[in-house]
Amino acid sequence: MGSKERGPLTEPMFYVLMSFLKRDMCGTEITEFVERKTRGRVRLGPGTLYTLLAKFQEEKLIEETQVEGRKRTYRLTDKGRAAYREELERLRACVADGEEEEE
Amino acid sequence: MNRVYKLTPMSQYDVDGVESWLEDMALRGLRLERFRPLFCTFAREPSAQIRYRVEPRYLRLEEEPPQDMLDLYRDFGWDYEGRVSNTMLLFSTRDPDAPEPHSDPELQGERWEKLRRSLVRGCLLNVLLAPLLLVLCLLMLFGEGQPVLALLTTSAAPLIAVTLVCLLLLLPQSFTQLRHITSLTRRLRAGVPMEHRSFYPKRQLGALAIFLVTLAVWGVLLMTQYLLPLTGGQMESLDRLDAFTPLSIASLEGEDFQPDHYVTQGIDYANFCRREQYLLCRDQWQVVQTGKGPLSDNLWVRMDIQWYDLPGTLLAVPLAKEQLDHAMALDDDIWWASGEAGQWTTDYFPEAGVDFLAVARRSDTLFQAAAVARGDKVALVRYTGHGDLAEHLEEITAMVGHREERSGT
Repeated sequence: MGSKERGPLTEPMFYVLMSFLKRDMCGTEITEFVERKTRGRVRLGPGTLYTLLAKFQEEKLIEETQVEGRKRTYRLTDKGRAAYREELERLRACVADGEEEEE
Repeated sequence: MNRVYKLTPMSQYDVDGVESWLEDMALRGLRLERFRPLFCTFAREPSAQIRYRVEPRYLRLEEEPPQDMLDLYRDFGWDYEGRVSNTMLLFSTRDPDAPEPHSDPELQGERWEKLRRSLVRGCLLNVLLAPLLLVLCLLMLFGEGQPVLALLTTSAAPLIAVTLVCLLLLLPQSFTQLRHITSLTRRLRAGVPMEHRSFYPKRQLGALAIFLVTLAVWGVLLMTQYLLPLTGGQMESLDRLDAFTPLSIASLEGEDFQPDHYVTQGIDYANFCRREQYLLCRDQWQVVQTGKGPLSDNLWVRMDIQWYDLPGTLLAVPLAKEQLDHAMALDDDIWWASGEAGQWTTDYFPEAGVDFLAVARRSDTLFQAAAVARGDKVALVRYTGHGDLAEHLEEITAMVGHREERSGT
Protein backbone atom coordinates (compact mmCIF):
# COMPACT_ATOMS: atom_id res chain seq x y z
CA MET A 1 0.00 0.00 0.00
CA GLY A 2 1.49 3.31 -1.04
CA SER A 3 1.36 6.48 0.96
CA LYS A 4 -1.10 7.97 -1.51
CA GLU A 5 -3.68 5.41 -0.36
CA ARG A 6 -2.64 5.83 3.26
CA GLY A 7 -2.63 9.63 3.17
CA PRO A 8 -0.17 11.84 5.00
CA LEU A 9 1.47 10.27 8.03
CA THR A 10 0.61 11.65 11.45
CA GLU A 11 3.49 12.98 13.53
CA PRO A 12 3.82 9.83 15.68
CA MET A 13 3.72 7.65 12.53
CA PHE A 14 6.46 9.67 10.92
CA TYR A 15 8.76 9.53 13.95
CA VAL A 16 8.21 5.82 14.49
CA LEU A 17 9.28 5.12 10.90
CA MET A 18 12.23 7.48 11.40
CA SER A 19 13.35 5.52 14.46
CA PHE A 20 14.15 2.47 12.33
CA LEU A 21 16.37 4.29 9.82
CA LYS A 22 19.68 3.50 11.50
CA ARG A 23 19.00 0.26 13.35
CA ASP A 24 16.44 -2.27 14.43
CA MET A 25 14.41 -1.21 17.45
CA CYS A 26 12.17 -2.65 20.15
CA GLY A 27 9.11 -0.89 21.64
CA THR A 28 10.74 0.98 24.51
CA GLU A 29 13.70 2.00 22.32
CA ILE A 30 11.32 3.48 19.77
CA THR A 31 9.63 5.54 22.48
CA GLU A 32 12.93 6.76 23.86
CA PHE A 33 14.12 7.67 20.38
CA VAL A 34 10.98 9.64 19.55
CA GLU A 35 10.96 11.47 22.88
CA ARG A 36 14.66 12.34 22.58
CA LYS A 37 14.37 13.38 18.95
CA THR A 38 11.37 15.65 19.59
CA ARG A 39 12.76 16.89 22.91
CA GLY A 40 9.73 15.53 24.74
CA ARG A 41 7.19 17.12 22.37
CA VAL A 42 5.93 13.75 21.10
CA ARG A 43 5.44 11.06 23.74
CA LEU A 44 4.28 7.68 22.59
CA GLY A 45 2.02 5.64 24.81
CA PRO A 46 1.65 1.87 24.57
CA GLY A 47 -1.73 2.13 22.82
CA THR A 48 -0.43 4.33 20.03
CA LEU A 49 2.79 2.34 19.67
CA TYR A 50 1.03 -1.02 19.61
CA THR A 51 -1.48 0.22 17.04
CA LEU A 52 1.27 1.70 14.89
CA LEU A 53 3.47 -1.37 15.00
CA ALA A 54 0.50 -3.60 14.11
CA LYS A 55 -0.57 -1.24 11.32
CA PHE A 56 2.96 -0.93 9.89
CA GLN A 57 3.43 -4.70 10.00
CA GLU A 58 0.11 -5.21 8.26
CA GLU A 59 1.13 -2.71 5.56
CA LYS A 60 4.56 -4.40 5.40
CA LEU A 61 6.40 -1.17 6.24
CA ILE A 62 8.23 -2.92 9.08
CA GLU A 63 8.86 -6.55 9.99
CA GLU A 64 9.64 -8.37 13.20
CA THR A 65 13.24 -9.58 13.35
CA GLN A 66 13.73 -11.00 16.83
CA VAL A 67 11.72 -12.09 19.85
CA GLU A 68 13.61 -12.44 23.14
CA GLY A 69 11.19 -13.09 25.96
CA ARG A 70 9.00 -10.01 26.12
CA LYS A 71 11.31 -8.01 23.86
CA ARG A 72 10.30 -7.82 20.20
CA THR A 73 12.56 -6.12 17.69
CA TYR A 74 11.48 -4.69 14.33
CA ARG A 75 13.21 -3.33 11.25
CA LEU A 76 12.21 -1.10 8.38
CA THR A 77 11.41 -2.78 5.06
CA ASP A 78 12.22 -1.23 1.68
CA LYS A 79 8.58 -0.32 1.36
CA GLY A 80 8.71 1.36 4.76
CA ARG A 81 11.81 3.28 3.83
CA ALA A 82 10.12 4.46 0.64
CA ALA A 83 7.04 5.54 2.60
CA TYR A 84 9.23 7.48 5.03
CA ARG A 85 11.11 9.24 2.20
CA GLU A 86 7.89 10.08 0.45
CA GLU A 87 6.54 11.68 3.61
CA LEU A 88 9.82 13.51 4.14
CA GLU A 89 9.59 14.96 0.63
CA ARG A 90 6.02 16.03 1.30
CA LEU A 91 7.01 17.78 4.50
CA ARG A 92 9.98 19.47 2.77
CA ALA A 93 7.65 20.73 0.08
CA CYS A 94 5.29 22.07 2.74
CA VAL A 95 8.13 23.88 4.52
CA ALA A 96 9.45 25.27 1.23
CA ASP A 97 6.00 26.55 0.31
CA GLY A 98 5.61 28.18 3.67
CA GLU A 99 9.02 29.83 3.57
CA GLU A 100 8.46 31.06 0.04
CA GLU A 101 5.28 32.79 1.14
CA GLU A 102 7.08 34.51 4.00
CA GLU A 103 9.88 35.96 1.80
CA MET B 1 -10.82 -10.75 51.12
CA ASN B 2 -13.54 -8.19 51.69
CA ARG B 3 -15.46 -7.97 48.42
CA VAL B 4 -17.96 -5.30 47.50
CA TYR B 5 -20.49 -5.56 44.67
CA LYS B 6 -21.74 -2.39 43.03
CA LEU B 7 -24.19 -1.85 40.22
CA THR B 8 -22.47 -0.42 37.16
CA PRO B 9 -24.04 3.03 36.95
CA MET B 10 -23.46 3.65 33.26
CA SER B 11 -23.33 1.87 29.92
CA GLN B 12 -19.96 0.22 29.31
CA TYR B 13 -19.77 2.25 26.11
CA ASP B 14 -19.74 5.49 28.11
CA VAL B 15 -15.96 5.19 28.12
CA ASP B 16 -15.10 8.43 29.93
CA GLY B 17 -17.84 7.65 32.48
CA VAL B 18 -16.50 4.14 33.15
CA GLU B 19 -12.95 5.42 33.63
CA SER B 20 -14.10 8.25 35.93
CA TRP B 21 -16.27 5.97 38.06
CA LEU B 22 -13.53 3.36 38.54
CA GLU B 23 -11.03 6.06 39.48
CA ASP B 24 -13.49 7.49 42.02
CA MET B 25 -14.07 4.02 43.46
CA ALA B 26 -10.29 3.55 43.87
CA LEU B 27 -10.09 6.85 45.72
CA ARG B 28 -12.83 5.53 48.04
CA GLY B 29 -10.76 2.41 48.75
CA LEU B 30 -12.48 0.08 46.27
CA ARG B 31 -10.16 -1.49 43.74
CA LEU B 32 -11.80 -3.11 40.76
CA GLU B 33 -11.62 -6.90 40.65
CA ARG B 34 -14.00 -7.60 37.81
CA PHE B 35 -16.00 -5.40 35.49
CA ARG B 36 -19.42 -6.51 34.29
CA PRO B 37 -22.00 -4.47 32.36
CA LEU B 38 -24.56 -4.85 35.20
CA PHE B 39 -22.47 -4.98 38.34
CA CYS B 40 -18.78 -4.88 39.24
CA THR B 41 -16.76 -6.59 41.94
CA PHE B 42 -14.38 -4.53 44.06
CA ALA B 43 -11.91 -5.39 46.80
CA ARG B 44 -11.45 -3.14 49.82
CA GLU B 45 -7.99 -1.63 49.81
CA PRO B 46 -6.43 1.59 51.06
CA SER B 47 -7.49 4.56 48.99
CA ALA B 48 -5.29 4.99 45.92
CA GLN B 49 -4.96 7.18 42.88
CA ILE B 50 -5.41 4.74 40.01
CA ARG B 51 -5.90 5.64 36.38
CA TYR B 52 -8.11 3.35 34.34
CA ARG B 53 -8.19 3.28 30.56
CA VAL B 54 -10.61 1.44 28.27
CA GLU B 55 -9.16 0.15 25.02
CA PRO B 56 -11.18 -1.19 22.06
CA ARG B 57 -10.20 -4.73 21.12
CA TYR B 58 -12.45 -7.48 19.81
CA LEU B 59 -11.96 -10.85 21.49
CA ARG B 60 -13.84 -14.09 21.01
CA LEU B 61 -15.48 -15.72 24.05
CA GLU B 62 -12.48 -17.54 25.53
CA GLU B 63 -9.78 -15.61 23.70
CA GLU B 64 -7.11 -13.85 25.71
CA PRO B 65 -5.65 -10.51 24.61
CA PRO B 66 -2.39 -10.89 22.61
CA GLN B 67 0.59 -11.31 24.91
CA ASP B 68 2.74 -8.81 22.97
CA MET B 69 0.07 -6.19 23.59
CA LEU B 70 -0.02 -6.88 27.34
CA ASP B 71 3.80 -6.91 27.48
CA LEU B 72 4.04 -3.58 25.72
CA TYR B 73 1.48 -1.98 28.02
CA ARG B 74 3.29 -3.41 31.06
CA ASP B 75 6.59 -1.92 29.80
CA PHE B 76 4.89 1.45 30.00
CA GLY B 77 3.48 0.83 33.50
CA TRP B 78 -0.05 -0.29 32.51
CA ASP B 79 -1.54 -3.50 33.92
CA TYR B 80 -4.28 -5.46 32.23
CA GLU B 81 -7.38 -5.55 34.46
CA GLY B 82 -9.68 -7.65 32.31
CA ARG B 83 -12.47 -7.25 29.80
CA VAL B 84 -15.13 -4.57 29.86
CA SER B 85 -16.97 -6.54 27.19
CA ASN B 86 -15.92 -8.78 24.32
CA THR B 87 -14.96 -5.63 22.44
CA MET B 88 -13.14 -3.62 25.11
CA LEU B 89 -10.23 -4.18 27.50
CA LEU B 90 -9.39 -2.35 30.68
CA PHE B 91 -5.92 -1.26 31.80
CA SER B 92 -4.84 0.52 34.96
CA THR B 93 -1.77 2.18 36.43
CA ARG B 94 -0.84 3.55 39.83
CA ASP B 95 2.21 5.27 38.37
CA PRO B 96 1.48 8.98 37.91
CA ASP B 97 4.36 9.21 35.41
CA ALA B 98 3.13 6.39 33.17
CA PRO B 99 2.41 7.91 29.75
CA GLU B 100 -1.15 7.97 28.49
CA PRO B 101 -1.72 4.93 26.23
CA HIS B 102 -2.62 7.15 23.31
CA SER B 103 -0.86 10.19 21.96
CA ASP B 104 -2.34 10.11 18.46
CA PRO B 105 -6.11 10.74 18.64
CA GLU B 106 -6.67 10.10 14.93
CA LEU B 107 -5.02 6.72 15.12
CA GLN B 108 -6.96 5.96 18.28
CA GLY B 109 -10.12 7.01 16.44
CA GLU B 110 -9.44 4.37 13.79
CA ARG B 111 -9.52 1.68 16.48
CA TRP B 112 -12.79 2.96 17.95
CA GLU B 113 -14.23 3.19 14.45
CA LYS B 114 -13.92 -0.59 14.08
CA LEU B 115 -15.90 -1.04 17.29
CA ARG B 116 -18.47 1.52 16.14
CA ARG B 117 -19.04 -0.42 12.93
CA SER B 118 -19.62 -3.64 14.85
CA LEU B 119 -22.14 -1.79 17.08
CA VAL B 120 -23.97 -0.53 13.98
CA ARG B 121 -24.18 -4.12 12.73
CA GLY B 122 -25.50 -5.22 16.14
CA CYS B 123 -28.20 -2.51 16.13
CA LEU B 124 -29.27 -3.43 12.59
CA LEU B 125 -29.43 -7.08 13.58
CA ASN B 126 -31.69 -6.24 16.52
CA VAL B 127 -33.93 -4.15 14.28
CA LEU B 128 -34.22 -7.07 11.85
CA LEU B 129 -34.69 -9.59 14.64
CA ALA B 130 -37.74 -7.83 16.07
CA PRO B 131 -40.09 -8.41 13.07
CA LEU B 132 -38.64 -11.90 12.64
CA LEU B 133 -39.58 -12.78 16.21
CA LEU B 134 -43.01 -11.28 15.71
CA VAL B 135 -43.59 -13.45 12.64
CA LEU B 136 -42.33 -16.52 14.51
CA CYS B 137 -44.66 -15.76 17.40
CA LEU B 138 -47.64 -15.40 15.07
CA LEU B 139 -46.72 -18.59 13.23
CA MET B 140 -46.58 -20.52 16.49
CA LEU B 141 -49.95 -19.17 17.52
CA PHE B 142 -51.79 -19.50 14.23
CA GLY B 143 -49.79 -22.23 12.50
CA GLU B 144 -51.92 -25.10 13.81
CA GLY B 145 -55.21 -23.25 13.34
CA GLN B 146 -55.93 -23.25 17.10
CA PRO B 147 -54.47 -19.96 18.37
CA VAL B 148 -56.40 -19.96 21.67
CA LEU B 149 -55.32 -23.50 22.54
CA ALA B 150 -51.73 -22.76 21.43
CA LEU B 151 -51.68 -19.70 23.67
CA LEU B 152 -52.99 -21.66 26.64
CA THR B 153 -51.01 -24.88 26.33
CA THR B 154 -47.61 -23.87 24.99
CA SER B 155 -45.09 -21.46 26.43
CA ALA B 156 -43.24 -20.93 23.17
CA ALA B 157 -45.44 -18.12 21.92
CA PRO B 158 -45.40 -16.08 25.16
CA LEU B 159 -41.67 -16.80 25.43
CA ILE B 160 -41.01 -15.30 22.04
CA ALA B 161 -43.41 -12.44 22.74
CA VAL B 162 -41.56 -11.56 25.96
CA THR B 163 -38.22 -11.78 24.16
CA LEU B 164 -39.59 -9.45 21.52
CA VAL B 165 -40.73 -6.94 24.13
CA CYS B 166 -37.32 -7.10 25.85
CA LEU B 167 -35.63 -6.64 22.49
CA LEU B 168 -37.76 -3.57 21.79
CA LEU B 169 -36.99 -2.21 25.26
CA LEU B 170 -33.28 -2.78 24.71
CA LEU B 171 -33.23 -1.12 21.29
CA PRO B 172 -33.11 2.44 22.68
CA GLN B 173 -30.22 1.35 24.90
CA SER B 174 -28.37 -0.03 21.87
CA PHE B 175 -28.84 3.26 20.08
CA THR B 176 -27.60 5.20 23.13
CA GLN B 177 -24.49 3.03 23.22
CA LEU B 178 -23.96 3.60 19.53
CA ARG B 179 -24.37 7.34 20.06
CA HIS B 180 -21.70 7.32 22.80
CA ILE B 181 -19.17 5.52 20.61
CA THR B 182 -20.01 7.54 17.48
CA SER B 183 -19.47 10.77 19.38
CA LEU B 184 -16.18 9.49 20.81
CA THR B 185 -14.96 8.31 17.39
CA ARG B 186 -15.84 11.61 15.74
CA ARG B 187 -13.98 13.62 18.36
CA LEU B 188 -10.90 11.44 18.10
CA ARG B 189 -10.84 11.47 14.32
CA ALA B 190 -11.08 15.25 14.44
CA GLY B 191 -7.88 15.17 16.51
CA VAL B 192 -9.54 15.92 19.87
CA PRO B 193 -8.02 13.72 22.58
CA MET B 194 -10.20 11.87 25.06
CA GLU B 195 -10.91 13.68 28.31
CA HIS B 196 -10.96 10.54 30.47
CA ARG B 197 -13.17 12.45 32.87
CA SER B 198 -16.92 12.97 32.71
CA PHE B 199 -20.04 13.04 34.82
CA TYR B 200 -21.73 9.69 35.16
CA PRO B 201 -25.15 8.72 36.47
CA LYS B 202 -25.54 7.43 40.02
CA ARG B 203 -27.36 4.35 38.90
CA GLN B 204 -28.68 2.65 35.81
CA LEU B 205 -31.84 0.93 36.99
CA GLY B 206 -33.51 0.58 33.58
CA ALA B 207 -31.01 -1.93 32.23
CA LEU B 208 -30.98 -3.86 35.51
CA ALA B 209 -34.78 -4.00 35.63
CA ILE B 210 -34.99 -5.22 32.02
CA PHE B 211 -32.32 -7.84 32.72
CA LEU B 212 -34.00 -9.14 35.88
CA VAL B 213 -37.49 -9.19 34.37
CA THR B 214 -36.20 -10.98 31.28
CA LEU B 215 -34.37 -13.51 33.42
CA ALA B 216 -37.40 -14.14 35.63
CA VAL B 217 -39.85 -14.43 32.74
CA TRP B 218 -37.55 -16.74 30.81
CA GLY B 219 -37.07 -18.85 33.93
CA VAL B 220 -40.80 -19.20 34.51
CA LEU B 221 -41.62 -19.82 30.86
CA LEU B 222 -38.85 -22.35 30.30
CA MET B 223 -39.84 -24.16 33.46
CA THR B 224 -43.46 -24.32 32.42
CA GLN B 225 -42.54 -25.29 28.86
CA TYR B 226 -40.16 -28.10 29.74
CA LEU B 227 -40.66 -29.09 33.38
CA LEU B 228 -44.39 -28.75 33.99
CA PRO B 229 -45.34 -31.25 31.26
CA LEU B 230 -43.18 -33.82 33.05
CA THR B 231 -45.51 -33.64 36.07
CA GLY B 232 -48.32 -35.27 34.07
CA GLY B 233 -49.05 -36.77 30.70
CA GLN B 234 -49.23 -40.43 31.65
CA MET B 235 -52.36 -42.51 31.05
CA GLU B 236 -54.25 -43.48 34.19
CA SER B 237 -57.41 -45.43 34.95
CA LEU B 238 -60.64 -43.47 34.86
CA ASP B 239 -61.15 -43.66 38.63
CA ARG B 240 -58.11 -41.36 39.05
CA LEU B 241 -60.10 -38.52 37.54
CA ASP B 242 -61.16 -36.19 40.35
CA ALA B 243 -61.57 -32.81 38.70
CA PHE B 244 -65.04 -33.39 37.24
CA THR B 245 -67.55 -36.11 36.45
CA PRO B 246 -67.18 -36.95 32.76
CA LEU B 247 -70.05 -37.63 30.45
CA SER B 248 -70.33 -41.41 30.33
CA ILE B 249 -70.30 -43.20 26.98
CA ALA B 250 -72.39 -45.94 28.59
CA SER B 251 -75.17 -43.46 29.32
CA LEU B 252 -75.29 -42.58 25.61
CA GLU B 253 -75.02 -46.09 24.29
CA GLY B 254 -77.42 -47.73 26.73
CA GLU B 255 -77.26 -50.56 29.18
CA ASP B 256 -75.83 -53.12 26.77
CA PHE B 257 -72.75 -51.09 26.12
CA GLN B 258 -69.61 -53.14 26.56
CA PRO B 259 -66.38 -51.24 27.20
CA ASP B 260 -63.24 -52.34 25.43
CA HIS B 261 -60.14 -53.18 27.39
CA TYR B 262 -56.71 -53.14 25.84
CA VAL B 263 -54.52 -53.51 28.90
CA THR B 264 -50.76 -53.47 28.59
CA GLN B 265 -48.50 -53.14 31.62
CA GLY B 266 -51.42 -52.07 33.77
CA ILE B 267 -52.60 -49.36 31.38
CA ASP B 268 -55.96 -49.67 29.65
CA TYR B 269 -55.44 -47.97 26.31
CA ALA B 270 -59.19 -48.14 25.57
CA ASN B 271 -60.41 -46.31 28.66
CA PHE B 272 -58.10 -43.89 30.38
CA CYS B 273 -57.66 -40.36 31.57
CA ARG B 274 -54.60 -38.15 31.29
CA ARG B 275 -53.78 -34.92 33.08
CA GLU B 276 -51.44 -32.21 31.79
CA GLN B 277 -50.50 -28.86 33.25
CA TYR B 278 -49.46 -25.65 31.54
CA LEU B 279 -48.66 -22.13 32.56
CA LEU B 280 -51.97 -20.71 31.33
CA CYS B 281 -53.99 -23.89 31.81
CA ARG B 282 -53.32 -25.32 35.24
CA ASP B 283 -55.33 -28.47 34.50
CA GLN B 284 -56.08 -30.13 31.20
CA TRP B 285 -57.71 -33.53 31.33
CA GLN B 286 -58.24 -35.89 28.46
CA VAL B 287 -60.77 -38.68 29.05
CA VAL B 288 -61.08 -41.47 26.50
CA GLN B 289 -63.81 -44.14 26.60
CA THR B 290 -64.30 -46.81 23.92
CA GLY B 291 -66.36 -49.95 23.53
CA LYS B 292 -68.91 -51.83 21.45
CA GLY B 293 -72.34 -50.38 20.86
CA PRO B 294 -75.56 -52.20 21.66
CA LEU B 295 -76.87 -52.29 18.11
CA SER B 296 -76.44 -55.24 15.80
CA ASP B 297 -73.78 -53.44 13.76
CA ASN B 298 -71.35 -54.08 16.65
CA LEU B 299 -69.77 -50.74 15.78
CA TRP B 300 -66.75 -49.48 17.64
CA VAL B 301 -67.79 -46.35 19.55
CA ARG B 302 -65.53 -43.79 21.10
CA MET B 303 -65.73 -40.66 23.22
CA ASP B 304 -62.88 -38.25 23.75
CA ILE B 305 -63.37 -35.45 26.30
CA GLN B 306 -60.97 -32.55 26.62
CA TRP B 307 -61.47 -30.54 29.80
CA TYR B 308 -59.70 -27.28 30.63
CA ASP B 309 -59.35 -25.30 33.84
CA LEU B 310 -58.20 -21.83 32.83
CA PRO B 311 -56.77 -19.09 35.03
CA GLY B 312 -59.59 -16.71 34.06
CA THR B 313 -62.84 -16.46 32.17
CA LEU B 314 -61.61 -14.32 29.27
CA LEU B 315 -60.56 -17.12 26.93
CA ALA B 316 -63.09 -19.77 27.99
CA VAL B 317 -65.78 -19.11 25.38
CA PRO B 318 -63.28 -18.45 22.55
CA LEU B 319 -61.58 -21.76 23.41
CA ALA B 320 -64.89 -23.65 23.42
CA LYS B 321 -65.86 -22.21 20.02
CA GLU B 322 -62.42 -22.82 18.54
CA GLN B 323 -62.30 -26.40 19.79
CA LEU B 324 -65.78 -27.17 18.45
CA ASP B 325 -64.79 -25.85 15.02
CA HIS B 326 -61.55 -27.81 15.19
CA ALA B 327 -63.39 -31.02 16.18
CA MET B 328 -65.67 -30.70 13.17
CA ALA B 329 -62.71 -30.11 10.85
CA LEU B 330 -60.89 -33.05 12.39
CA ASP B 331 -63.76 -35.46 11.90
CA ASP B 332 -64.13 -34.25 8.31
CA ASP B 333 -60.66 -35.61 7.62
CA ILE B 334 -61.05 -39.05 9.22
CA TRP B 335 -59.94 -41.66 6.70
CA TRP B 336 -62.54 -44.31 7.51
CA ALA B 337 -65.48 -41.95 6.99
CA SER B 338 -67.17 -43.76 4.13
CA GLY B 339 -69.56 -42.57 1.49
CA GLU B 340 -70.55 -38.98 0.87
CA ALA B 341 -69.49 -36.59 3.56
CA GLY B 342 -72.49 -35.30 5.46
CA GLN B 343 -73.02 -31.69 6.44
CA TRP B 344 -72.40 -30.49 9.96
CA THR B 345 -75.28 -28.80 11.72
CA THR B 346 -74.72 -27.01 14.97
CA ASP B 347 -77.34 -26.27 17.61
CA TYR B 348 -76.70 -23.61 20.22
CA PHE B 349 -78.31 -23.61 23.64
CA PRO B 350 -78.16 -20.08 25.01
CA GLU B 351 -80.71 -20.86 27.71
CA ALA B 352 -78.72 -23.72 29.19
CA GLY B 353 -77.40 -21.68 32.10
CA VAL B 354 -73.79 -21.71 30.89
CA ASP B 355 -71.68 -19.18 29.00
CA PHE B 356 -71.60 -21.31 25.87
CA LEU B 357 -73.08 -24.63 24.85
CA ALA B 358 -73.32 -26.07 21.36
CA VAL B 359 -73.79 -29.52 19.93
CA ALA B 360 -72.76 -30.33 16.37
CA ARG B 361 -73.75 -33.38 14.39
CA ARG B 362 -72.64 -34.54 10.98
CA SER B 363 -75.65 -35.82 9.08
CA ASP B 364 -75.74 -39.47 8.04
CA THR B 365 -72.71 -40.27 10.19
CA LEU B 366 -72.02 -41.13 13.82
CA PHE B 367 -69.79 -38.10 14.35
CA GLN B 368 -70.88 -35.59 17.00
CA ALA B 369 -69.18 -32.91 19.03
CA ALA B 370 -70.23 -30.69 21.89
CA ALA B 371 -68.49 -27.75 23.52
CA VAL B 372 -69.38 -26.10 26.78
CA ALA B 373 -67.91 -23.20 28.75
CA ARG B 374 -68.84 -21.79 32.09
CA GLY B 375 -66.65 -19.35 33.99
CA ASP B 376 -63.07 -20.58 33.71
CA LYS B 377 -63.95 -24.18 32.77
CA VAL B 378 -64.25 -25.53 29.24
CA ALA B 379 -65.08 -29.00 27.98
CA LEU B 380 -65.16 -30.48 24.51
CA VAL B 381 -66.74 -33.83 23.71
CA ARG B 382 -65.98 -35.70 20.52
CA TYR B 383 -68.21 -38.68 20.14
CA THR B 384 -68.66 -41.41 17.54
CA GLY B 385 -71.64 -43.57 18.46
CA HIS B 386 -75.36 -44.17 18.45
CA GLY B 387 -76.50 -41.83 21.21
CA ASP B 388 -77.44 -38.19 20.83
CA LEU B 389 -75.34 -35.62 22.68
CA ALA B 390 -78.22 -33.13 22.53
CA GLU B 391 -80.18 -35.40 24.86
CA HIS B 392 -77.46 -35.28 27.50
CA LEU B 393 -77.05 -31.54 27.96
CA GLU B 394 -77.43 -31.76 31.73
CA GLU B 395 -74.44 -34.15 32.00
CA ILE B 396 -72.42 -32.06 29.56
CA THR B 397 -72.98 -28.82 31.48
CA ALA B 398 -72.28 -30.62 34.77
CA MET B 399 -68.70 -31.18 33.58
CA VAL B 400 -68.03 -27.44 33.85
CA GLY B 401 -69.83 -27.13 37.22
CA HIS B 402 -73.35 -26.13 38.15
CA ARG B 403 -74.12 -22.50 38.61
CA GLU B 404 -75.26 -23.19 42.16
CA GLU B 405 -71.87 -24.82 42.96
CA ARG B 406 -69.97 -21.93 41.47
CA SER B 407 -71.90 -19.33 43.48
CA GLY B 408 -71.46 -21.45 46.62
CA THR B 409 -75.15 -21.73 47.38
